Order: sequence, then C-alpha cells, then structure tokens
Amino acid sequence: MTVTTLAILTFALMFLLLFLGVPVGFSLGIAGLFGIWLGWGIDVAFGYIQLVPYRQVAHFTLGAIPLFILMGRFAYHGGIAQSFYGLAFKWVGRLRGGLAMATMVAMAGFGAVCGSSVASTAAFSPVALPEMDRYNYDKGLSLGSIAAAGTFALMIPPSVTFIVYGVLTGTSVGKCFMAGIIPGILSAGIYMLQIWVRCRLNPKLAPLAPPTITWKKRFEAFRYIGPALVLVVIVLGGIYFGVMTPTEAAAAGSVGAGALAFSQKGFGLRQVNDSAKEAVGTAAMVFMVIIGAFLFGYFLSIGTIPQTIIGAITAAELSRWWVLLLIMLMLIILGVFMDQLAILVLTLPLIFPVIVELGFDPVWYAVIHCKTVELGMITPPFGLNVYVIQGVTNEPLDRVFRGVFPFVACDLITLIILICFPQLSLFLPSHMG
Amino acid sequence: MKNTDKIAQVGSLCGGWILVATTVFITLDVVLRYTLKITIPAVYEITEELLMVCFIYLAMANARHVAVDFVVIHLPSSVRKKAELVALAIGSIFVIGLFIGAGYRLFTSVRLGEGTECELGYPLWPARLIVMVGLGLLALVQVTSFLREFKGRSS
Repeated sequence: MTVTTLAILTFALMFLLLFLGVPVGFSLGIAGLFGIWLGWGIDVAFGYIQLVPYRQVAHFTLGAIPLFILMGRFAYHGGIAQSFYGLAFKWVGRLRGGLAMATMVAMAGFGAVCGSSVASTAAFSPVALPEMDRYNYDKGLSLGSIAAAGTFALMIPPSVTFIVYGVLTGTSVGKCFMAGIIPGILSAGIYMLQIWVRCRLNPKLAPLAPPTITWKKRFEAFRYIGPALVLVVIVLGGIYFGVMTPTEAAAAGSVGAGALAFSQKGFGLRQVNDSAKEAVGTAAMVFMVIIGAFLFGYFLSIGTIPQTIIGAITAAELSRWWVLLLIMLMLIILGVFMDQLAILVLTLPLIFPVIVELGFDPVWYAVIHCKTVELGMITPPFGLNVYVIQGVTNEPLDRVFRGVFPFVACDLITLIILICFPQLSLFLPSHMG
Repeated sequence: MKNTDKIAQVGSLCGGWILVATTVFITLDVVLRYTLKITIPAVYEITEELLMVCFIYLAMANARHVAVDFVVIHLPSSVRKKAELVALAIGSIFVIGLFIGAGYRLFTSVRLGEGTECELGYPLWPARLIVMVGLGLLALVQVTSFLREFKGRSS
C-alpha cells in the first residue's frame, strides 16, 4: 500500500470518528494506530500503545498544566478578579466606554494568573456585567467585551495552549509564554481603542460615566492588587530571567495564590480540594488528547506524511506567505466548528514541519496559531466564551454573538499586525535570561 | 450513587492532595536552591511520576473529553442515538486496548526491574501501575456507559 493511500484511509477514519462524536483524543489515537497497523503491522501498533501513555505524560513540562490551573483557581478564590476589576474601574472607568475598557484591563491582568479562557470569562461575567448594566451600557457592548477579553488568557502567559504547543513541537514553553505578552497587550489596546471610537461615535453605547474618583482612591486600589502583581512578577519574571522553569513558576505561583486565597474569608480545605480536583481533571482531559495526538503524530512521522506535503508545496512553487495564509484560513474555518485544543493537536503534527521548513520562527508561529484559533472562541456557532456568558447571564445567544463581532474585526487587525511585525512576538523571547 | 462515581470520588480526594503536595514540593526545591544552594534529589523525576495521578482522573473527566459534536447534534434523534452508541463502543475498544498495553508494559517493567536513572534510582512500576489503573477505570466507565446506552435503546 502506498503512503498516499495509507494517509487517505487514516485521515478518512479520523474524520469519520470525529464526526461520529468520538472524543478528539480517542479519534486521533485510533486513526494513528489504524494507520500504523495497516502500514507496519499489529506488533508495531501494540508497541506504540505500550509506549505512549506513560512516556508522553511523564513530562515535567506538562506538570505546568495542572499547576497553572490550580493557581488560577486559587487566584479566583483569593478575590484577584475583583481586585483587578476594582483597580481598572478606578483608573479608566471615568472615560467614555470606560467600564468596558476596565473589563479589558482587568481581564488582561487576570489572564496573567489564569491560563484558561473559559475560567476567565466565567470569573468576570458576574463581576463586570452588573456594573455595566448599572450605568446603562449597551448590552451588545458589555457582553461582547467580556467574551472577547476572555481570550486574553489564551495569549497572555500562563497559557495552557502554549504549554501543549511546546510539548507537541519541542519548542521552549518559556519562550512561547514571553512571546505572548506583547501580542496580548496589543490585543487589549486595540480592543480598547475600538471601544473608545465606537462610544465617541455613538454615545448611547455607554451613556453615563461613574462619578469622579479621587487620585487618592485610585492609588489606594493598588494596595489590594499588590499581592497579585507580586505573584505575576514572580511567575513571569522567574521564567523571563531563567530563574525558574514554567513548571516551577507554576508551582511557586500556586503556593503564592493559595496563601492569598487563605487570607480571604470563606476559603478553606474544602475549596483547596475543589480547586485541586478541577486542576487535575482538566489536566487529565488534556493528557488524553496529548496521548491521541502523539499516537497520530507517530503515524505521520514514520509515514513521512509531512515531508510528502512539504514536497507537494515545493513542487507547487507557492510563496511561503501564501502557504501561511492558507493555513490560517484553514485554522479560522476549523475554529468555527472545533475546540481550540482539538485544532491544535489535529493540525500541529502536519503544519509544524511545514512551518519550520518554510523558514518561519516556531515561537512566532505559536503566537500566530494561538491568535488565529482564539477567533473560534468568540465566533458563531460554537464560540465557547459566548456560551459561558450565555450560561452565566441567560442573555440570548444572538445578542452576545452580535456584540462580539466588532472584536472579531479587531482580532483580524491584530493578526495582520503580528504577521507584518514578527518583532512584536519575538522581542521578549530573544532577550530571555 | 453509582460505583464508578464512588471510585472517582476516592480517586479525586487522593489525587487532588497529591497535586497540592507536588506544588509545595517543587516550590520548596526552588526556594532551597536559591537560599541554601541545596537541591532536592530527583525532583524532576519524582514530579513526573506524581503526574501519573492524573490518569486516575481520566475516568472522572470522561464527560469532559473534548469532542467535535457539530455533526452529531444536527442528526435526527434516532440516528444521533445510534451514532452515540457507536462512538461509545469505539471509545471502549480503544481504551481497553490502551489498558491492555499499559498492563503489558507494567508486567515487562516488573520483570525487567525497570528503574529511574536518577540519583535515587527508584522502581518505575508504581507509576506504571497508576497508568494501568487509571486507564482501567476509564475503560470501566466507557463500557458501563455503552451498556447503559445499549440497554436504554433495547428497552
């Protein structure tokens, strides 16, 4: 059987399983094993079954996933979301559209202690929305701003997506983390500019500003956010200066966030247990996807499928920018239908060798990939953040989706800027200790 | 309460606290490294083995496994039920396969006396045992779900 026939059969099986609703990790694993079995026999396939589950999960870097999720949970219980919002409210709340901007600033800040987009959206919906309602903000604007700002957690470190990307491709997770900082801030800035322009053009969107807040109160707000900022500095600074690996930074951050949470009323052993269960449960889900991805990746690797694709691209004499554009279009289309983790593990084994072969920087591509699939978190019909907000607020889905559209346009602009200026992503990683 | 839920609860209690212990363990290593210039031996390797506890959670995370359901949800109800049944059957076979593979690997590990190459040099079979137990629990949950769905359809 030729490699092409083998690849067609394996991919056909994978898509069939996916469309049947078989979990992504299972679909990838079954298809990969099927391909290895057809091409190289049952013994080789059984060898991979024995090898992969332990070998790919017993990976120190992967430890960062449950630890960063634990840190995010502790940070939430420690009232860090409220503290960030309180600070941002006092500093930018007075501007027109200021409460939506405050949401952006606060969620960008919270994104630095929480690696989950969904958790960030769920944490801020009950905090930011009532405030915007109180000042008669347009529903589309308020809902859209929370859903869109939830995606910051994917880009601003610690991001679970970057950890999985790093493990699957062998790219430094620390460098990916650093690469996400400036693009994350840029995204927040462009969102805020968009809010400001829209509110200037249509003042009805954000009719009333909160009362004047004295400078004294503004500076006082730092007192509550101080410990959280120290936490961010320890985690990101530790990684940037090479003092700690991402996993060590995650552990130190969890201990710090835990201490912060214990200083709050109502936080006890029960909450620690719930947070730890949540962290390990999410990690287990990610590990299963990684096991499937590696089984599929081994099939692609021993079948030299990526090399075949690279050969076809070379033969077609396509410019590398055209190839990148095609890849991004594919990611955007997949993002409409699939979870971002599923897209990552499905496409990366095929795309990554092509990206490297075309001379693109793997760290830069991590940012582009992440930003592209981020769109799927807020676009219909399966934008996960939109469903989270809908679940928390019971607002009609179409209203949330309508509110999100201006932010999708902003994301496309950000993406173009990040592609045109790779230095924005690569500046911090290139100066790491 | 279903038996699988009970198992998951016990597993979650142990696993959650093992994660918290791991967090403190790694942090302690970092603090000792920069304050007293001491490192805890084999901290990386031990952390990797402790991570295996996540496998116990595979069963608990069963309902949360990422799936692409945009085709299935648009199917007519009767066809959707059949598709779900097929998906559960295929998932069960796959996880049983992984469970058998993990069991075989555990057996090999014990037979060869496999251990880590770090300075502590402890045996690897306990970690492999956790992998096998975790996959076994997941297989149990998958098969139970399949049988429940199948019986539901039959009745």
